[in-house]
Amino acid sequence: MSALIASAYIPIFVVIALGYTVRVTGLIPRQFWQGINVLNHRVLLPCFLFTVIIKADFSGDQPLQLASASALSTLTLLALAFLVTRLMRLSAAQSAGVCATAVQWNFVSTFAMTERLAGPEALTQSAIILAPALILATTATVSSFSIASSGIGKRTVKTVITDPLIIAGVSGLVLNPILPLILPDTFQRLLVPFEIIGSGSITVVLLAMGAGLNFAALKGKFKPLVTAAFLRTSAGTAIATAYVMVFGFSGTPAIALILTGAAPSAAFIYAVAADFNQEAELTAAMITLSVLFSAIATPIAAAIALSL
Amino acid sequence: MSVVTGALIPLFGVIVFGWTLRRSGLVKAELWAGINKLSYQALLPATLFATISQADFSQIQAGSFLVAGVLGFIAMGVIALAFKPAPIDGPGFTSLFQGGVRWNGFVLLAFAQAAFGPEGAVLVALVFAPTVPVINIMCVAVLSIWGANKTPPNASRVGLRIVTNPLIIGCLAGAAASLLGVFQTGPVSQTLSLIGRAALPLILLSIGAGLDFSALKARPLLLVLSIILKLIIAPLVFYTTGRLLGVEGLALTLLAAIGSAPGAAAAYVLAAEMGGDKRLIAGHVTATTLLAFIALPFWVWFAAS
Repeated sequence: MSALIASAYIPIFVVIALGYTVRVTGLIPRQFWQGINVLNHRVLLPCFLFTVIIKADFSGDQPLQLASASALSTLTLLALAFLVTRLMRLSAAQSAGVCATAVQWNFVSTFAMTERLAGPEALTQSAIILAPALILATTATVSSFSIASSGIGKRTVKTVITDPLIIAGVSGLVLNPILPLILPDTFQRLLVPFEIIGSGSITVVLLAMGAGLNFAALKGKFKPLVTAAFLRTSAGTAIATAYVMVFGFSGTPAIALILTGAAPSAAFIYAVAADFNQEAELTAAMITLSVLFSAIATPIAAAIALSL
Repeated sequence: MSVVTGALIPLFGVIVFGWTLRRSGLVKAELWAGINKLSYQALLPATLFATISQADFSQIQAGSFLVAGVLGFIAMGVIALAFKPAPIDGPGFTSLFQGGVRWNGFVLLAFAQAAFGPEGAVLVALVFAPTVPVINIMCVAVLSIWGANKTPPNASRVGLRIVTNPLIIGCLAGAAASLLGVFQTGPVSQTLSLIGRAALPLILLSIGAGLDFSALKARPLLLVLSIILKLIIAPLVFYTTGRLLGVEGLALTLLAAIGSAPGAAAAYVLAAEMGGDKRLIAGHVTATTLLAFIALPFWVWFAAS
């Protein structure tokens, strides 16, 4: 298990460190990263999101139950995160970072972990879990940063509904049952350019996160930092486990869902925070810390899942 | 649809998408500098390292292929120089020269991987190391003599730029790792593969964002000549050189493909620095990038048949 976690998480940490090094050494100075963040938020990540969701297989009864459990987990965690940020009286930007970090999980490392624990057939269920979680969490992420940036109002609504990530997620969901039917032979070929574009998203976000780390700026922000990472990995595991028991899952679906609860935060939250210019450095640190917490939480989550 | 065309279509689709992103303002022109820098300084060297270090050289005949590749570029330099006596101004000639010798290796790397698998990708990746310094030395020399910038280049500075070129470092480090049998599996290998995965999409999008259709109107006759040099003469030269050195099979096909690769955007940077005709080279890169969609499959078919 430790070798498995090491092989999944070490590359993530190294790439983050590399991004930090590239920025502080001046190889790619700070002013150049804006374009990279914009490209990631508006192009690379939406393409990745679209291709993942459009290929997910939702047919059958269990997929709907699994998707429901995933959606409820996300909403419950979001509600908890929101409540905690209100109790802590955090600023809007810090609250956005905490909520986004708590609900948005890193599906790349989670998929890898799930496959290693439960076999390749578990990935089908992982994709089903991912689709509603990703759409809900992304909506929450974009909304919270947008609200932090320009308040609640028509402008925020417009920003949310025109956000490329939201459009990509909803498009993927809507086209999922339609495209394979109307274009059965060319469907896969049409997706190839999107897959090429999306394939770079995770790496670029990790590098950009590293470049965005600013340890001096974290002074006085220890509480939101730790709270975000704790919510993501510990509260996330507890909530996911609860819904597994409520829905009566066991075996592969249980493993796939519980592991999402212990997963680190999705690095692309940073791209959104940076694009809205709302506590991007703190968000980068929250995500990074969540990776560390996840390395501890994942074996516990795996043990719980395997015992069910 | 052939494998070659099937490999090219998505690549060109991404290039067109990159152009659309800049044109629509979704990713504004001024933001691409950072994307380019990340791609060429970090991601591509990591890709080259990962590709070369993990290659099984017992299955790949690279020696003659590399020699043919280097000689091909030198031959193109000589052929381009033969046009100097023609009534062409200095800056225009330097852009004609750069258009004839520079190649967009990244497009070809992506194409080779998609069309011919890991063996194709390794062969193309290997070509970077010996040819990047040769091409740069030739281009800097020509620009220093005939470019509009009257300040002579600093030889040691040029030399330093070449030896610290991230692409060369990536290739040499990859070759060393392969020879020593290190970093072929495990966390280092996984990390480098993770980093390199982002190179292809970013570079293709950057190429698209850099297309300048207005530059196609600049000096049409010279532009046509530079296209002929790049997409007709160069593939023939590389193919012939390969045949003379006994290169065959996939390696020979890739030599023809290298010859017909589109022009490189790096030519524009050097033209801007050293007084070349920037508009002409921008038009050349745009035209050859688009026409390579036809040229590449043709020359691959030619060499393979």
